Amino acid sequence: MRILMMNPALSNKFPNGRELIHDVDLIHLPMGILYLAGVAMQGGHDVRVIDMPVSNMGWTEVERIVDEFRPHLAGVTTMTATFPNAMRCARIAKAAGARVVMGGAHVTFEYAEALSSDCVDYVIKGEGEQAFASLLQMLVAGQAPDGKVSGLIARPAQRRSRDRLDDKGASSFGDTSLPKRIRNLDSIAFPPYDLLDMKHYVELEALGIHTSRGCPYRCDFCTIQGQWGRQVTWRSADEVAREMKWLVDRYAYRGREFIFYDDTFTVNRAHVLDICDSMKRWDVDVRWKAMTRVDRVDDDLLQRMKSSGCFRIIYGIETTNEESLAKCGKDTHIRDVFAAVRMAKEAGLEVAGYFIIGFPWETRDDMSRVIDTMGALELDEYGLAMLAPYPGTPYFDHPERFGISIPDRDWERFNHLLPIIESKNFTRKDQAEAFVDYLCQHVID
Amino acid sequence: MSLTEGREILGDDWRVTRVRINHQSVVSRRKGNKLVVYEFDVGGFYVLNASAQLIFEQIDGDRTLGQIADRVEGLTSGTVSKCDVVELVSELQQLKVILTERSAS
Repeated sequence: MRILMMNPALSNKFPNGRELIHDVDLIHLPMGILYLAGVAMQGGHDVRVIDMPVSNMGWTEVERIVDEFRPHLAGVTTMTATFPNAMRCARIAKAAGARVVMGGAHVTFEYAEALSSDCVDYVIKGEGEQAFASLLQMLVAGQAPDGKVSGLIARPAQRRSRDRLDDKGASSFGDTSLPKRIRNLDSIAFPPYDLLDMKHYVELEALGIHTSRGCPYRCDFCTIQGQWGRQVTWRSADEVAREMKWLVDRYAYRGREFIFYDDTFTVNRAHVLDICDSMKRWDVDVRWKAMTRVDRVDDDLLQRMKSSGCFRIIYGIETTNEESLAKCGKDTHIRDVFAAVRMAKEAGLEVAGYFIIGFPWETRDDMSRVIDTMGALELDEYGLAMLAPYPGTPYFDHPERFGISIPDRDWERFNHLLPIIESKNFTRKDQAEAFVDYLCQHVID
Repeated sequence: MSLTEGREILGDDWRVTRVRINHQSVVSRRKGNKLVVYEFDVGGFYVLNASAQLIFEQIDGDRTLGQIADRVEGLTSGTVSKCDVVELVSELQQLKVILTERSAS
């Protein structure tokens, strides 16, 4: 089969002036669809990948590629903010006669919305490799998905948007549970990077790579636990280093920068140390950075990370409000934050910290205090997001429990840079004012 | 954007067009000699330089664009022209930062 994997463009509602915002890069290697492309290639299929954001690709070009390639199957990934554009990708592929399968964080939760459109035939929830492989086998064999593949939901022709989850979580879509996780991530082939025009990616600040999947924590603002469950799976350190070495050699990337996109990079201390050792053994001559929690680091770990090329640690600090840290399920403490920042600095690392305002219980004054006090940490880089109540989080599923409303379900606004929720404690304008205060205090010189 | 383009957007009667900041979805803060403007409905961050800031600060909801242009030209001894004023206002209108309406008078 001819299979086209598509990563839709970022919404045009990402505010102008993004250069003002320090953020984990929104444009990066589309690892999800790249891994699935690898699955398809292993099955002997002819695969292409469209990554709209990296090349700023317009719809005319997408239509041209689809018309030229005439895919039998299009695989479209989607985050919440890109969902409308993902649907446009689906429409284009469907108009060219393709079947369409959609995956990614957003449709893991909002699959009924996607499948209410005639343009989307299947949704894959959570970790996609096994369900995608099964779907390909069934399509090649001329079979319709039978509802027995874990994580794969099909849209029978008669189904429309009235098919919704009932109160008990049962569904007219059949089994909608998450698929069983892949325990051995080394069993998945390296992503087929050569399907991409890699010159775009090596020009970015950093190449991203994963060493694990999942996060064991239960932060209420995060979709990871809903998308993956709370089990963490790992790649072997040697496989990670081997892939990095391959990328360095293949794309002349020596001395450049990597970012580990793991949700909590240091959740398994021994694994991190193995990776540090393996990078030395494989002579991976790069600098790198990673994201983690403030309560999962120690002096020795950070120093050994530094000695293997780490130059920056990115902490998900979230807030300097102790009450918020407890209420949002982060389960860290302000003392952990200060200790982690101190340890990283003593290890010679740059320190970045990401924060959130707009927790339901916060007041406008609370937001101001967070923004004022984050300066005391003397970080090298600050990032601030306005809380986005993503599908799959308790804030979205049960807003009444938190006393919030989500007046606007325009998915394109779910980008952290536009206020979405209102509560009895604050308005959207309150969040906007606090956000501009943050820009003035911590970003604009 | 040229004066002609700005006039086309604002209409021939640009001089009597009343302009006001879209306070419902616009927040602004001064940082040193810059003005940070954030429109949080459509979505956009803008940092205005000193000239743009001067123009922006004349928008009080009562003055017409003609009055603002005359005033800015006077305050800057012509360094900032009417053309500059119309250009900025047209741009900010398109970005939903300011709203315009034809003056009754």
